[in-house]
Amino acid sequence: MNAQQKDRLTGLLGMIGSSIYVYQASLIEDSLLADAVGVTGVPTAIGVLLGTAAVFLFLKSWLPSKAPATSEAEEAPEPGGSDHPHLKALGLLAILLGFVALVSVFGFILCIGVMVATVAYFGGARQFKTLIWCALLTGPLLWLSFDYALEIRLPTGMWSQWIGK
Amino acid sequence: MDSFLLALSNLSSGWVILSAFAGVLWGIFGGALPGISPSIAMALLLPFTVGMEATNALVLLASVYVGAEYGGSIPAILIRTPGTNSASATVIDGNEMAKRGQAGEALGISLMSGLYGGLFGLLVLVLCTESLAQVALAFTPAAYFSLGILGLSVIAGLSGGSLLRGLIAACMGLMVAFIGSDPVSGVQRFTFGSVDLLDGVKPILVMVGLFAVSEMLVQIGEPPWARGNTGSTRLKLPNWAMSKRLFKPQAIGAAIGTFEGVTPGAGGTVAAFMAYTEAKRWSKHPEEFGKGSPEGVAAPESANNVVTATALVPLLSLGIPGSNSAAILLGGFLIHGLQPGPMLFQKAPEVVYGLYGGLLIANIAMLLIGLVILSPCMWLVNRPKPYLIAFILALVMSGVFAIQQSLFDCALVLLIGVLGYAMRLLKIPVLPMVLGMVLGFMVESNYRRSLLISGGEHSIFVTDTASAILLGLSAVLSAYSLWKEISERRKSAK
Repeated sequence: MNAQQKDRLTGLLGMIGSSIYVYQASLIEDSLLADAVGVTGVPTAIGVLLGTAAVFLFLKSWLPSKAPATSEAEEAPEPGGSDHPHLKALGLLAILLGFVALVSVFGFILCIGVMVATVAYFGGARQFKTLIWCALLTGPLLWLSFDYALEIRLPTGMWSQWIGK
Repeated sequence: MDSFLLALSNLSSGWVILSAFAGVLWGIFGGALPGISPSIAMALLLPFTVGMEATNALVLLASVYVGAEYGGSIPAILIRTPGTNSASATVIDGNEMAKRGQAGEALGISLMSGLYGGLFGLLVLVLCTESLAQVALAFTPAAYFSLGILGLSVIAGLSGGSLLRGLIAACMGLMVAFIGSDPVSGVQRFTFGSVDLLDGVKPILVMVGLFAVSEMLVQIGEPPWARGNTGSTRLKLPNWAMSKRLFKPQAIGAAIGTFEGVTPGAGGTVAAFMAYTEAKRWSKHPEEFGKGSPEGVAAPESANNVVTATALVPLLSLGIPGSNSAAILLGGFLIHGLQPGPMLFQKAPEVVYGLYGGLLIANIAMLLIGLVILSPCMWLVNRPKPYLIAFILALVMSGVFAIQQSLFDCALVLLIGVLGYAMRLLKIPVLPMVLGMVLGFMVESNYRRSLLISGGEHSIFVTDTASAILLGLSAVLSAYSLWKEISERRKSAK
């Protein structure tokens, strides 16, 4: 995708996003305590501003490009490197969502250990002994740091009667 | 004078020194963990201060603040994960330097800039508390609104050359900031019936998602056994030539940090972003910003460490806690039967001077502890990439959960990470979004409060002196940024 196509897509998404946002803002009911601006005043204005900027960007993308952009944003590294970077990103996201879905059932120590080993394996690590050690150590280490040192309770899941306080 | 001598004698007490070192160490640990803000790190220690002598207790709490503000920069530089909100401006060039194999230099610059900033802030606190307190008193809701606009006026400098994309990102940040309870009437907005969104979206979730999670989604797609390229694992403090180069951005950071610190509610995040853009504006090498400029690390680090001391100005002189961390410190005062405010200097001068001395020791402790721990941190980051990604994500998930003990936050941070990934694909800069998110509440709530006070008259924003000055400054900065962007485009077109 070249820069103009990216601008076009950004503009289009911006217009859609702003329309949905302004529509959602219009559904909010004002309270009796509402001031002159109202609950929806500022969000609507920002939604319209986003829409206007998106329209300008969309229109600008159809104009012939005059100069190559050399900004930091232009030169920011784009996702890539392997054959299917977006698929790999999707795979990682699936692992993390799996962690979020299962942690309340199986508890933090087990889930974070499995997550660490799975992510490392998914990322290319193939030393099974190291993977197992990572899985075994990460959970208890983080548990001790958060639950005991910081006194922040992490989910115990099905093990609550053994490790819950 | 007697009180000053008493404070000096307090400093020679081993307990004050121990409190300062322990506080800084705890603060660095908490600050380096994404999700543990300086105020949380302080709050966790608050119950332990009950049995302590007042000066030791306050030195301990203030030292945690100093350590946490500094600690946030370590993961920001090494793994692109800001440990605290105010470290998000350090990510930009700090992490770029680390990627170029200059992690040791970046951490050295961050450490020394933090030290200079902390010491300068302490000097301001000691010498100017009474006079600067008047600045805080002059701030009406209209002035706060204009202060928020001044913060937003730096968006052009963070937009990476495309003002339209920067504006779109800033609007996205503002939109996220409007989620939750309306600041005036309490009506729920954009919560879609979710109880988890009633309090809105915490800025740290947005920052961790946009920076850390999106970076991991990118990294996983890169060759598997590439090691983290932080170069040497030795900390490198700036030499004389580099120190001379960094003086200007550090001074800019110190000036902005002083102003933002004494203004209740502004805080280190806005100071860091403003210092970054102003350092870029006044730099001889603005083209290096965003690509690993040492000045881009020095300015925000100096600014947010100045704030650790100057944020105490309104607390000590007026009894107004201008930030969450200052509120925790206020709790520390109250626990020991002390009421911050003008009378504090007469009633318990030894505590005030003891706190000043403790802050001095805390800054020295920050330097010494930094010198010891930074090399092992770099060694850790040089581990094989798959393990590093897995460990960072484990840290992110634990830290995010710790904020509110909410799995919803963990899912939300992943969603924001996907948004950050898409923004990177589409070349939309993330920094304006972060700034919009941070300033959204401040701008909207004070805008509407001002209109309530004025009976709907917008003229309040120009009739209020502080507001008019800030709006004028915003207009000048925005016009200058626009002029600069247009002239640079013309140059590159030729």
